Amino acid sequence: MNRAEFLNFFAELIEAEPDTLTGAESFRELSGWSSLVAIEFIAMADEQLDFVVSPTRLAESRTIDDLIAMLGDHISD
Amino acid sequence: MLNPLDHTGKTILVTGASGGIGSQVCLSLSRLGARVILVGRRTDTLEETLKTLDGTGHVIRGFDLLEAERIQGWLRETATTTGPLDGLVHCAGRQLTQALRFLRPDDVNDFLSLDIRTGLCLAKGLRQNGVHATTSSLVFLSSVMGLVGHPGKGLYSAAKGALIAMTRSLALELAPEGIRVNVVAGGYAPTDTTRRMENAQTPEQLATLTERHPLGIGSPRDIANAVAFLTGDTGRWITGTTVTVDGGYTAQ
Repeated sequence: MNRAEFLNFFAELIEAEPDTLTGAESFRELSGWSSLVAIEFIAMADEQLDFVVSPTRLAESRTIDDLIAMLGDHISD
Repeated sequence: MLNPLDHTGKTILVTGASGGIGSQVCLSLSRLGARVILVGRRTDTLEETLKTLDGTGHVIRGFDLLEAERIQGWLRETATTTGPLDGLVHCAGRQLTQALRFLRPDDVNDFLSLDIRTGLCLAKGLRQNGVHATTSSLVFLSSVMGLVGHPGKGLYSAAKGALIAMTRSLALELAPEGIRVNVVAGGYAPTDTTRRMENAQTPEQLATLTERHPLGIGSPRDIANAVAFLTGDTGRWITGTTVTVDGGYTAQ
C-alpha cells in the first residue's frame, strides 16, 4: 500500500471524502475517529499489512503522518 | 473429606479446548478428577492443553465444529469410544468488537454459527441414547455482553444473548432426559485470545474496562470454577440458569 492509498483508506475509515486528507491532520480531532475506529485500524494493519500495532505507539501518535511513520516499510512512498 | 465438586468418574467433553477459557476448563476439571475429552480443530494445540492436565485417560478429538451437520454422528462415534458423557462444555467461540458501520452482512451468519448453530447441534447430539449418561450437564459459555450492551458489541451480544435464551428452552426440553442445561455469562477474564483484544485498546480504555468490574478483572479460573459447579453434583438441581461470573460488572 502506498501513501496515497493509505490516506484514502484512512478517509474511508473515518467516513471522509476521498483525496481530502494530507497526512498532517490530528486524527483524533477528525469527526469520524473513535475508539471503535481505532480497533478497526489495528485490525486492518494486522490483516492487510501484517503489522501489529502497539497500543502505546498508537497512543503516542498524533497525526496521520505519525501513523504512516509507525507503519514504516509497510507503506511505500 | 467430602468434596462436593469431586468429578472422579465423570467424563466431560470440552469444545474450544485449544486455548482461552476452554483450556482452563479442561485443566480445572482434570484437577477435580474428571476424564476430559478435548475438542478443537487443531490436534497439535490440543496436545499442548493435554500436557497441562492432571490425571490420565484424557482423550483428544480433533473436529471442526462448524461442520454442524456432522456433529450428531461424530458425538455418537465419540461416545462409543469414551462411554456416555456426564457433561459437555461448549467453550468454542470468538471475540468481536466492531463498529456497526464496518459490519459485512456475511459476517453475521459466520459469527452466529459457532454459538447458535453449533450449540444447538451439540445439544441435539448429546441427547442421543448412549451419548449422554443417565444424568448429564450441558454448559454453554456466554458473556455479560449477552446481558448488557456495549458499543461495538452488537453482533457479539446477539450470539451470546442467543445462548442465554436457548439455554432456558433446551433445559425444559431435555430435563425429562436427565440433561441439565446452563450457561455461564463471564465478565472480562483475560486469556491469550483476549489479550490480542487488549492490544487493540488504549491504556485508558483498558483502565475503564477494569473500573467497570468492581472486583477487578477476573481470571479464566473463575469462569472454570463456575463451569465445574454446574458439571459437578453441586449443580444437580440447577437447570435453565445463567450463572453470571463477572466481578460485579452487571450489578451496576
